[in-house]
Amino acid sequence: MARKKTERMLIEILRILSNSTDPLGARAIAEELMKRGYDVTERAVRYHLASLDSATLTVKHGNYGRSITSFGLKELEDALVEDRLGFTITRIEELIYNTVFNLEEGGGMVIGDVLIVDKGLFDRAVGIIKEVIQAGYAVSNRVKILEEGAGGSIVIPFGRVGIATICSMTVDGALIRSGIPVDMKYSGTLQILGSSPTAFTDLIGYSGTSMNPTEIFISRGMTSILSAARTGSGKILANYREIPSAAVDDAKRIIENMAGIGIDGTIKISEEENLGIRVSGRHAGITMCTGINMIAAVLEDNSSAEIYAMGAAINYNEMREIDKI
Amino acid sequence: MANQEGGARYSSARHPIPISNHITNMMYGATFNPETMKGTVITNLFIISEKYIDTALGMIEQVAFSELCVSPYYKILNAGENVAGITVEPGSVAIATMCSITLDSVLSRAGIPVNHRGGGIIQVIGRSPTRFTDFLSYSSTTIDPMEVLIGKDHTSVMKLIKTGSGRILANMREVPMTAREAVEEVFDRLEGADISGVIEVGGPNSDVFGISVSRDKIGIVIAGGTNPAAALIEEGIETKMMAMSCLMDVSEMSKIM
Repeated sequence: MARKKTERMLIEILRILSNSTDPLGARAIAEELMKRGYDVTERAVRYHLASLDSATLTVKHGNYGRSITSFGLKELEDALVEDRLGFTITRIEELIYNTVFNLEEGGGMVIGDVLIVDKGLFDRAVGIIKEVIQAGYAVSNRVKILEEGAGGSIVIPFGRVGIATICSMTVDGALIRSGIPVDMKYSGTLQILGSSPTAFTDLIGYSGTSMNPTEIFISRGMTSILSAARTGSGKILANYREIPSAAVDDAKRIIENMAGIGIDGTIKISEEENLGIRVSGRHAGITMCTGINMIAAVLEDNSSAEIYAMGAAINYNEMREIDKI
Repeated sequence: MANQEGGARYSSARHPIPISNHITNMMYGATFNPETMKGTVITNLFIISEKYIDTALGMIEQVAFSELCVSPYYKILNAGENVAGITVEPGSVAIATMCSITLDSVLSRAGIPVNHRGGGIIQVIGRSPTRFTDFLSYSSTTIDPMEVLIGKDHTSVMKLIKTGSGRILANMREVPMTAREAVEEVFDRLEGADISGVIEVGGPNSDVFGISVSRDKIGIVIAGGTNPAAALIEEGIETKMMAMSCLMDVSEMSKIM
């Protein structure tokens, strides 16, 4: 047990360093650890840092403190697998908590997915995004163009351009901020036949995976979003959450209001059965398109495109309707 | 690219079914008895161009010799033959290898209740398995984790064989802690039949490679029968993978070494 606790603390130190742009000293790290519930002395932190140094996970810069190495960043991706089961939900909740979208004022921060393509492919990508919006498999027709060099956590490389789109989790954020408990359950591929959604064909539960399920479906080539948009048959990405039955009326009202300002992706709200999923008792299931359909369709068309799911928090007022860019 | 159809073949038209339900059905269906060497085993199927057949068999041999898969048993199915609901196309061959669920089937027939937890990537450093770096639980997915995690982004089976360090596919199940002796006896019998691949039998109530077990259980980690296919994909050979695709009579299979 003690070993696991120590390992957690070591990983927490790496996480603290990874979140900092400047090197940090033992005192600053000890203070951060205290905030996160680790009762630890500065001296103990020094001891742990020395062992991280010798494992080349951190590097010392004289008296300035330490920073994380690329090896340390890789370690953060690999360590403590059980803590990372359900990591996608943690990431979603963190983003929801950090994004303040005010429905009444129609503004604030929204959760965005980011597509990066070569500049030469930009017009073609915009054309595809428009097709997916037209077919109704998008969350919003608003996008933000990110020029090369721009970005916070995601930097747009030279010669490429980024297109940020709105993620469906923005709607979940609005529900949660209204006090509705939202249980994010599955990400899946949804069969479209005759331009109508029929049933989920594959599902991955958010709580049981250390990887982002949406990225699994995309990287395995399990979608056919372009075909769904063009011919009416194909598989799109959708996600499924449950809310208490008592909250259905309020949720519908919020979803309608969001749609009123241009954020909509709801496919089905129902009790008992929802597109092949059995809904839990006294709950309602809500299936929504993912915002990532628009940009995953671009990837189907050209494999050089890159996707960052839930990559950024974006100011809604900086987003423009795609027809007006 | 691994099998593009994904787990669609496991899903009924009405409800997507978690892979765990598919596993228990396959497990119950297998009848293999290590004493008599008779009965059916569960196999993974992978389909490649026939020009790669010698390369593929060479790799299976290396992976089996390094005990990174379940057994040296395999079967080649040529163009025109039918298996697992498909017909092997001209120019292609299908190779069947034994799936690790075969061991669970034998445990289960010895009266040991087996709870399948999930599959993931095990990181091996200096020939010692250290931890799972990614994990997907069987009850949460309709696609087999052994298919999701295959390929050079995740595994490095050949690097492990050459250098002693790398990443392989493995899966984990748990059994009651009181069944420990019975489990080891079954594994000994299977070893006699050249079926192994057991990476770890954990202690009571103890984590195995970072995944905790339920109360009063022990965790067991076994190498994925799909590691030979992972090696092929890593080497850039186009491979269509179908994990846990069919039951096959062991008498139809040959030993590679």
